[in-house]
Amino acid sequence: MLQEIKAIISKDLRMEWRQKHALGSIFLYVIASIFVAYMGFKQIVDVPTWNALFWIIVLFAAFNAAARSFSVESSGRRLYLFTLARPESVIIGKMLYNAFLLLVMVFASFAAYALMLGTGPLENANWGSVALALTLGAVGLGFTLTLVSALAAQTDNNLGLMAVLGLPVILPMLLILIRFSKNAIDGIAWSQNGAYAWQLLAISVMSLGLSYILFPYLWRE
Amino acid sequence: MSKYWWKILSALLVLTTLIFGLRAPLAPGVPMVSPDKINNGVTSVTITGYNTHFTENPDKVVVWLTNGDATFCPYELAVIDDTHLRVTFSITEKIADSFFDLYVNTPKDGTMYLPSAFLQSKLEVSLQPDRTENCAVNLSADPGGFNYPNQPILNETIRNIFYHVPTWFAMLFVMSISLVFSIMNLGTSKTKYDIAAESAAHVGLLFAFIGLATGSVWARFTWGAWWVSDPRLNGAAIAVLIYLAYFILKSSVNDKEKAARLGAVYNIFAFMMMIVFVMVLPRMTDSLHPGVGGNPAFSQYDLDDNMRMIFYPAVIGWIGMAVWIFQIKYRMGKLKFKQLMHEQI
Repeated sequence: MLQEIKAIISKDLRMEWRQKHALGSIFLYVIASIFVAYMGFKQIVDVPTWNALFWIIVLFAAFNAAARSFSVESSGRRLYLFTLARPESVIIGKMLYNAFLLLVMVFASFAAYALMLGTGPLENANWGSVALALTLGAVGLGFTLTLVSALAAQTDNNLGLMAVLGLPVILPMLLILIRFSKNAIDGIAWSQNGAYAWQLLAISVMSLGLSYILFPYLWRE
Repeated sequence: MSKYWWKILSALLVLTTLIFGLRAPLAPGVPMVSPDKINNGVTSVTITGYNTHFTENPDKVVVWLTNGDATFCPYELAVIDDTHLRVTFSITEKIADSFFDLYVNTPKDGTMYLPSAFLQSKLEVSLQPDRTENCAVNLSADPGGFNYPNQPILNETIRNIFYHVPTWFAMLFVMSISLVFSIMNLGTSKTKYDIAAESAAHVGLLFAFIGLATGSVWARFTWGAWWVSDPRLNGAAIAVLIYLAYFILKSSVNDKEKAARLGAVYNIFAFMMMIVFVMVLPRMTDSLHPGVGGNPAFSQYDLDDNMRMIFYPAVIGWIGMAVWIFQIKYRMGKLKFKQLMHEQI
């Protein structure tokens, strides 16, 4: 199984690397959104606004990134994938790949965002917690949205349904994430803020477990 | 007959809770005072009662304030009408606490209480207050009778407990039914389980809307806004969004069996995510909602024995009604499905 997961991740990575337009489009999407925010706000001094806007931009980019994870595969290739690997390996592989992709994207866009919209709010930041928030956010978004993407890929209206199905599921996590990251940026100590991190981790693990159990039913045609 | 007993029971329970919940009076209380400050020296205040009977036995009306261990009695008290008292206090001593609690006692109404009724103004607050004796004497006993507690801020809206809270219980109950049928559908791929899951989700959504409406009206009267940002309320909104998305997902796929499978997967996934949010998170953060954060649940002080007598039957009755509606909806769904099959053949 580990072998299968590894193979799927490396296949996705290689595919992504060869079709550079796909990877590029996600990054361009983030950069463009940040630039739009910059045009609108110039500089944001207020920490809650700064933080919330960042996660909203990341959220929509994550939707875009995750939506592709199943729809990029043609139905023939999907079937072929199935004869090669167990569905559990497919979903775990896709989830880990999405988490990795979002991790790179989140850190890159955080740097770009801070550069464009001002580093003022970050003065007191608790950097360890901020890094943890970005990591947990990327992993949580990647994990949760992968199963939603698998669901949406089975319908005709992939992108529209992705948002409809994904938003209510992701909202609880997003609310915790925004609070955790705001506290981290405000420089609140780990002892006060750690509970949110554990909640995020718990939601990610639950999402992983549920996807592992439920995904095989999605493949059965 | 033996098969329908629970339907009759829940209909009767709902009917009784509607009648008793709306008809039984609120206990007498003193919800309002004006002005709400006690000055250094002489202060005259008007006390407004609710459901009170000041004019029966005006001589036996006793009013007093408490502040820490001390009690202050008025030197002048005039009964204006059944619901208004004019009281004059004279206070110059050092006191223990910034707020005075108000008590009013009459033979017909018993003892009524308004916590933090008055804010002190220009009095000296000290750790060694001057007075500690008790001047409230000759009190009449509580007359009893069937009524609901008169809570400050809540007032008459306390009755909403009988309708708002059971609605959410009923919603969670049918949503759980929907979850169970979704799991069964994934296990067996039988269409009837899918119809059952969808019917239950429909009924759950109906109750969620009722719960939102009753809660919103209640919030307007107690917190002053139709909607406040609060973990419990956000959770309720997310629950509604999840089930709306569930219906959209099911209707967007033409193949019935596939729609059932996708719907079941989404139902299980979304329900679990929602439960974590609705059940776990609000307990860890601050909230205005009772039973959450620092606020005690109803059972601790709001729900007295009279309210319990209506509240528990209301919960059972509304859950029974929800299951009944679900059953009808499920049978309708099955018939529709059969008709569809017939037409295709």
